[in-house]
Amino acid sequence: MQNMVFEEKDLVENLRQDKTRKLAFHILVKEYQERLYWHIRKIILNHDDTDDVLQNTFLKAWHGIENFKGESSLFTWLYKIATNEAITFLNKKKKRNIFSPQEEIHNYLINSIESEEHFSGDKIQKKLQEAIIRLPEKQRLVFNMKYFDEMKYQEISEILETSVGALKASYHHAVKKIEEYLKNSE
Amino acid sequence: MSKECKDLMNDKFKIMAPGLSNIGNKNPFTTPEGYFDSFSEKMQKRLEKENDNLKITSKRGIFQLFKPYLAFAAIFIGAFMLVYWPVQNIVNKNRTVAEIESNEYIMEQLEWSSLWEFVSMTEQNSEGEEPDQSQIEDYLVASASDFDIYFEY
Repeated sequence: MQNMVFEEKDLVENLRQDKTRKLAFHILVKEYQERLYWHIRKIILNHDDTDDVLQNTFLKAWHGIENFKGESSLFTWLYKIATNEAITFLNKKKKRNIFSPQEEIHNYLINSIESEEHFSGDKIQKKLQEAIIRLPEKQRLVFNMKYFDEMKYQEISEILETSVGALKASYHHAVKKIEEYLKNSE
Repeated sequence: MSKECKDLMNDKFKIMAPGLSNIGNKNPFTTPEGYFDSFSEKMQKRLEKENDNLKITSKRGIFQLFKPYLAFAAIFIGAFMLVYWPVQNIVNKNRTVAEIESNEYIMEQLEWSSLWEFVSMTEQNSEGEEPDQSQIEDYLVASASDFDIYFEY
């Protein structure tokens, strides 16, 4: 398996055939699990919930491979699924508080940071995470993908289906808000 | 992007966001040991479980398909039994009671002293003809008082 040349086109083809599907899926998971995990983790913060969402993401990929048209890369397609799954997960938290749904998500995320055992950051990094939590959903996504994942605006544009210009503005606003929060919490 | 370009952007960022620049973009999150090593196996098991569940679901397929219609039919029959049938019984009973009471009333009104007249009437008609309904009614009306007639109706 180590000698197998990983070609995205071949991988997709093998995923669509019954005989080779299982092995191809194993390769797919091995190839993308870490990148997808960290992307989801930055949205959800909690490891156990991230694990659930990551599994759901790959399950969706397994069932939906016929729908993959090859217009974008396989990674972009998977990233989109992962983003949607993570947001859907958070939106379920919203429904518990009909009067202030956004606050419900903030509370859940802040609790996740406070109680998360798999967090090795110091006090200031915790402050940074709190600042990011307070951003609107889209700005959070853009900030994480640009600042932590160092993705190009064009890649982010394909995943979030937003123009590069709007993304740049979104990132700029996110940075300003975070700076303000860090300054005020000193 | 060239190194010089990157350095220039970083310098600009430091001016724009000094707090963020000091913190950096190091990932503060960790995972349990061996998490990624065992994740693929976990996924395979999950897929196998899903396949098993799908097989069970497909066996029940036809029943599941018709379940909503059967439920609807059961509700309709239940409603029919609970509402329509008892109501019909009550309505029929009232009619029967009305008929019985009507016959009893007729019998009560039929005074024995007038019976002979009635019999005579029938004898007059005994050449093959029985008194018809209107003749009987005429007899009853004649023997009933106005009060009795109007009170009944």
